[in-house]
Parts: sequence; structure tokens; C-alpha cells
Amino acid sequence: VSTATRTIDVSHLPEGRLDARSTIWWGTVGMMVMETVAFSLVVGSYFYLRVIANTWPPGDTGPPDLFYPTIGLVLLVASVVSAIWADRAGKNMDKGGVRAALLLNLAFGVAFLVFRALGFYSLNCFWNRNAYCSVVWTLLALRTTHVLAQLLETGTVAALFFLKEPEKKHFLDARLAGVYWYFVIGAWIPLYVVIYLVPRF
Amino acid sequence: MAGGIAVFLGNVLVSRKRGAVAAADPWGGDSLEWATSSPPPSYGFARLPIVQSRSPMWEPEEERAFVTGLATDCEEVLITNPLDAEPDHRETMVGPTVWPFVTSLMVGIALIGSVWTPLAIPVGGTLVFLALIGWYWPKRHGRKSRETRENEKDEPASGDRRREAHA
Repeated sequence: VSTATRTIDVSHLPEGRLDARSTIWWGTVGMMVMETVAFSLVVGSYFYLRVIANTWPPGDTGPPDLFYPTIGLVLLVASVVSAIWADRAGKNMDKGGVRAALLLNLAFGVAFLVFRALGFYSLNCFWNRNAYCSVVWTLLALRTTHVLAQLLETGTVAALFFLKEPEKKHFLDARLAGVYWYFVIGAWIPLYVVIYLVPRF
Repeated sequence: MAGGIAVFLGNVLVSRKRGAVAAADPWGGDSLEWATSSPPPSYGFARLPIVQSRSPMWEPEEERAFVTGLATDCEEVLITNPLDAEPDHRETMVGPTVWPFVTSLMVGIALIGSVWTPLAIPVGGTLVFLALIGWYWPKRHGRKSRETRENEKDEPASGDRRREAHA
């Protein structure tokens, strides 16, 4: 004997969301948490070495030059404009806006990487000189990989928006490229303080 | 220990030949894994059950509830909100694809290669990135969302035809 079964009809529910209700949003937040932990571990090693060292930077190693990294920092903070733009254009499903915002974001990111690369030359030390140099190089290598990986991702989403007809879910990818860039900017400010200002005090 | 394993293997062999074949839920279990047939189909449940207590299988038959309205021609999942588990939206999952396998192969090349040469990191990293693009890139015959497929058709969407009939 079968009885009428109770059901919930979900066919009227929207297909995908472009905000924090989406699972991919939470996946991206999870990535940010993991990367914050990875950076924190290296920053922890940095301060551990600083505590046990007699002088910091040790010996005659000078503090890193500020010129190129500071230009990079200014560029990176300015790039919040393209991140907000990508975020909003993705949310409003504005295809032209997403294309332009991601291209601008890529330009900012590549410019930052150029100054990042120049910054390696103005560290005044090579990684195998002492523990200080090793930990600074580790931090910067981690950071450069972080920015490079995100730029490759942004470039892939941008390529999709130029070469294919984007579906709704791709606008979430564009939005998350912007949201993730907020994290890229936010992570650099404390790292800049640690790498460039801490050796001066 | 060997004796215990021998008893187990003996039991397997004897049960293959003799005795009653177990039904889908021989012990009257209380949890959802007993709701599907045995062996279970690849899709798990034909209809998504709604869980209303810690022992959903012990609820009276007439109180059991199901979700309808998910696409039946592609893998569509129901996403609920995190705290109240109220249905919020539907998401289309990707179909079967070889790209996750290719990606893991490339990760393996990068990590195992790095035992011998540091070059394996940039080379392997590039291979992993290319595999990830292959995974992400929309396929010509790939799994599109239902709305996209309906928009692509000339005639007005007749989605009900493809939706599960209400019980």
C-alpha cells in the first residue's frame, strides 16, 4: 500500500548564486585561510630567528632597499580599483565590465611582479648567506608564487570571457578573481612591514 | 589472527553458495545508507530524501519526504543554506572528465621529479597549470547548466518535460 509521499519542489530555485551562498565562494575563502596559515608559519620562523640573533639583520647584512618594493606596494594598493570593478561587474553579470576589469587587474599584477622581481636584487643579500637571508627569500618566493598563481588564474578567466560565451557560473569566477585580489593586497601589507620595516628597528 | 581471517574467508565462500541473499536493508538500519538498493546504483538515490530526524529510516513511511524538480538529464545538486539547511539554489556539476586524473599525474611528475632536479618545480608547475586550464575550460560537448541549454534552444523553454514528474 503506497501513500502519497510528501515532496519539496526545488525547480523554481535559481541556478547558482553569485555571492557567499555559493560553494565555490567558500572554497575560495578556505584557500585564503590556508595561505594565511602558510604565510604565518614563515613569519613565525622569521621572528624566531630574530629573537635568537644578536643583531638583526645579522652581521654586516644591511636592511633591504625600500625604493622598488614601495613602488610595488603603492601599485598594489591602487589595484584595489580593478579588484572592486571585477567584483561588481561579476555580481551584475556585466560582460564588458568583467573583460575590462580583468585586463586592468592583469596589468596591475604584471607591473607589481616587475617591481617584485627588481626587489629581489635590492635585498642586499642572497638566500645562502645566513638564516636571515634564507627566511626573507622564502617569504618573498612564497609571496611571488602566490601573486603569479593568482595572475595565471585571472588570465584564464579573462581569456574565457574573450574567447567563449560565459555562463552564469563564470561571472562568479570573475567576481572571485576580484575578491581574491583583495586578499592578495591585504596579505602584502603586513608582509611588507615584516620584510622591509622590521629590520630597521 | 590467521585463523580469524580464515574464518572470514570461509564465511565469504560459503555465503556465496548457500543461504538467503540479503535484502537492501536486512537489519532495519536507521540511517540513509540503507535507503538505497543493494548493490547501490551509481547515482545513489533516485530521489533525494529529506532528513527530518537522526533516524530517518525509522520514521513512518507516510512521513518520509523527497526533493523533486532537480534536472534528470545532468548531475544537478541542491545547495542549502549552512545553518538552517533550507533549499537555496541548484548547481550543475561537471560530467565525467579525464582532467582531474591528468592534473594529479602532472602533480606527481612535479613532486617526484623535484627529488632529482629543481627544474621539475617550474616545468611541473607549468604542466599542472595547463592541466587545470583543460579542466576549467568549457567543452564544446560538455555539461552546460540547464538554463544555458534552454536559452540556446530556439523554441521557448519547456523545462517541465525534463523535470521529474511529481509523485
